[in-house]
Amino acid sequence: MIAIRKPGPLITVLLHAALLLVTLFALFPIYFTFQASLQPGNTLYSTELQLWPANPTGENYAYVLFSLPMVTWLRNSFIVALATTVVTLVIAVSAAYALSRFRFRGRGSLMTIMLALQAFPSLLALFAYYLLLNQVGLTNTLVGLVLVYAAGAIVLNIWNLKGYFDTIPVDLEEAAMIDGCTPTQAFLRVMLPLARPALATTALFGFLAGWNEYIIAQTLLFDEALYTAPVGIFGLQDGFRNPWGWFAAASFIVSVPVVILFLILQRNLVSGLTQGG
Amino acid sequence: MAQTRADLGARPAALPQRRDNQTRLTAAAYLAPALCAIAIVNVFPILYSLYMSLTNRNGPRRFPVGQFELTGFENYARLLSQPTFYIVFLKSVAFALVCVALFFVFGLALALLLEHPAIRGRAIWRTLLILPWAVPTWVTALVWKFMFNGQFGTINHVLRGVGLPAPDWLTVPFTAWVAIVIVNLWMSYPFFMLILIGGLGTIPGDLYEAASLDGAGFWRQLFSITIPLLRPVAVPALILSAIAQFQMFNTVYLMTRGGPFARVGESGSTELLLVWGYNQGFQGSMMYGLTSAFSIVVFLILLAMTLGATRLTNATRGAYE
Repeated sequence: MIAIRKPGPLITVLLHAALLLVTLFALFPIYFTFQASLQPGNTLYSTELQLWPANPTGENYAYVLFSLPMVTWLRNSFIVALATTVVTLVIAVSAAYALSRFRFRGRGSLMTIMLALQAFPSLLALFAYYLLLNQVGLTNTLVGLVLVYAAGAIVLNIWNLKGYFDTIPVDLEEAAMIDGCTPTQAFLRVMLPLARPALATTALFGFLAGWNEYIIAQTLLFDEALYTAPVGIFGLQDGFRNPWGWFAAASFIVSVPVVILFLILQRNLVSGLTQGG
Repeated sequence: MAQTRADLGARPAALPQRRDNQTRLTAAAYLAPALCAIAIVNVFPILYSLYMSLTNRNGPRRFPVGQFELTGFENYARLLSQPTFYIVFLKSVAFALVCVALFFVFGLALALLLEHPAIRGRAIWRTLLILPWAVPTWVTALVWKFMFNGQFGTINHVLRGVGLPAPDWLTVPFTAWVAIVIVNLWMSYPFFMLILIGGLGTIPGDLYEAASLDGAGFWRQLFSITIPLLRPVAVPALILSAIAQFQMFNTVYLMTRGGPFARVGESGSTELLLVWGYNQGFQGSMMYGLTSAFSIVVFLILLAMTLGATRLTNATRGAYE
């Protein structure tokens, strides 16, 4: 809120205190995971509050990285997430461009129908996906997984990108076309660079969706060598006591790349989300 | 700050159109990959579920190839005559409403706090505050599940430390519910905070100046200026989020599996719509026919919500142009 008077020192202190409190709420679970990953053995099962391990150790990291096929799982996750991002981005960008820049019959209904399809809880149609993938021999493959993830992302991405493209004035493309560009050239050279925040946001969420998904991957992959990281990590549960130290170390390893990605792209988030959408 | 959609859209965004086959072909070529993909990965599963929902494929095996036949609307009759279905439905509505209301209040409070002129180091605070969003949902579920553990969990360490009662959060129906709401708030508020910061940036400062001169205090300004002018940004986000919360699955499933369960045959206290459907269809009983009927019913409900929402947001958008 834009205040008129200069706030007094008491207000300033109170506001910062409130902010600090909320930030603690936001960061504590992340900090907790980090310190838990450094706890040796079963010391996490303590009835005392511990905020820093008495004997911090890297053994959880060593175990998770070298005794488990974690590197393979991370590679699988990376392939799936990247493929999902690229496939959905290419398909959605071109469709969103057509919907934003061309006028044709059925354009409005097409947008509505796509949104309507999104209302289907595809999680409950897992066996339909299974059957579909089985027909083309893609069960228990990473390609099949990418196909299912793309299903969840394409429509929303089209909507988001179309909304953003609508906010970019056509004059620039027109100018390019007067200079002799085809619509496609104008699109690639003029529009795409301007839509960078929306592209970055869409790509980020596409990547996160593939990198983070657990339930579907767990249903469609049987082969340990094909597991994505979450499936592999959840497989460590032994039904009795969960190996929390390993979970924490693995969670940290998996989260760090996405958090970094998020921080790099965060400047785009506000404009990418509020202009389009 | 970004323009919002409210400022735009009045200007037609289309290219100069020549109504010839060339244009039409170009548009079709751009749309073709998306339409093919949507037909295969979005439309087919819906039609297949519709077909399944009319069969008695409620077998014990995982994805069986076995025998099943069309039985008409038997699954629908069975589903809609179960009191559990309605309980689960109402529970999900309540969950969505409570969550979305909390997201908005918390997000708005933070947005206002961050935009307050007294705050130093705004960019750093903002970066720290959006971090929960970047954490994978399954990590969120795991970490909070541990923190809510009755015996070893951090939350109870703290509660015992200050002499408050320390319930076994995830095994008591009410506290399990509170726990999933808190976790959901933790992972979802950053989105609202960012959206509302964007929205605050579009409100002209002289409105507040004028209001101050007229003697309007903070709350008056909040309810008469800030919230009404945030509507174009907030309403679509609230509706989309409500629909998403209605479909909440991952975090809740990974934290509680829908439990605690009081009795066999009754729904668990955190067994929201999709958790219940998943438990019915893919855990133990494998009732594909019934689950398909359920997915079609949920589809229709969400469809009505979505279409109603688009109409509503169009209406609000129109009001500000």
